[in-house]
Amino acid sequence: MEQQPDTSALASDVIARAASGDQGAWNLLVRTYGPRVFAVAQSRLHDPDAAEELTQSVFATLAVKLTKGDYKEMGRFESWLFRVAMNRVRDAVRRAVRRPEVSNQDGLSIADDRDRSPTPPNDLLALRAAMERLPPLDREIVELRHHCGLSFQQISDVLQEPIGTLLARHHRALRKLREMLEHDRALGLESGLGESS
Amino acid sequence: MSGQRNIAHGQDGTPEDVREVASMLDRLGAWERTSADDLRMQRIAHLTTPMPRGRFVNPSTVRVSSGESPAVVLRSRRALLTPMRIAAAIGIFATAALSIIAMRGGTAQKHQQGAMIATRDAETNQWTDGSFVLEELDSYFSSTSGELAILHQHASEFERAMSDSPWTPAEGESL
Repeated sequence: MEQQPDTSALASDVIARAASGDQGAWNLLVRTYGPRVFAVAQSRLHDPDAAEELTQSVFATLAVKLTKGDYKEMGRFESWLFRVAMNRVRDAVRRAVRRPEVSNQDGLSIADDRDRSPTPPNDLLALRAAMERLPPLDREIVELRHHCGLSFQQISDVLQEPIGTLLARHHRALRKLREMLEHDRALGLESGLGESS
Repeated sequence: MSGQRNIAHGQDGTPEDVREVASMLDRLGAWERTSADDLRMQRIAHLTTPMPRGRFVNPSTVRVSSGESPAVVLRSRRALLTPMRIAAAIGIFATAALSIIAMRGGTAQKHQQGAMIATRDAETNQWTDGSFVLEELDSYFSSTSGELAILHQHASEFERAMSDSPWTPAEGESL
């Protein structure tokens, strides 16, 4: 990984070179977007190895689609990428619900293997728990915004919702989170809200 | 609130009443990314680099010695549970003179280990596709040393095969 990634959108020529098998360009693409895909996967799965697996599957899909020419460059690569990522996240969550516990031949429980990620600080842990209680669409908006760093225009492209709707839902979701944190705090649970400044 | 946002600086015009929780969400997002370290990203990049169609380039492999069971070798190497993770684990290891790709195919529902296999002839350096069951790998490696690989251009196909069929090894299944 010789090139340093930039968090801004990659130039279309980098994407084209990556699609043609240029290892350096592909490394740059993965290093630029991989952590952001990983973040939303980790947010749902709470397991860095599972999040890596999901991130890998997203880039494997991207590789196939780019190679086949399924992506047409229209300056919306990030939206396209995160649409693939969110579809994969939803699939993973559905599978996790369907398969709460599966044993392998060694008798090890996959469910027992989950949630072995390092634990965030208490205030963020409370926030993470509060996010679990958001409606699915609101949670996706929050994750795409704050974990993946997308603009509302990009979120609109990913979720196929009008920007005005997204802005309103985002604002409402954050208010809900604030209220949940305040409520939890009143019950004696750590939230960190109002303590950071 | 602006439609554009700079994640690094957090200048997003967030309404005042939710500014603090927005800031916490940015911190949580950054925290969720902390495990996305360079090693993980390198591994992902290595396993997923696009390749021109019909070519098998730079497969990720693990060496299997003559007489060894490839399933045992895979099991000894893997630290994780699912085949996709096996693919990631295999990706750590070295390159090959002879490579074989093995993955579960569409026969998973019948608890039969389907395998898609590509072999590269050590002399001609040409790849050929083939379809086998994993048990045949044991037979293959009973008299041959070589390397086992998962080729990532098949990853999506592999994933599709897995998605509707959670990986629950059948009784006596070796991989």
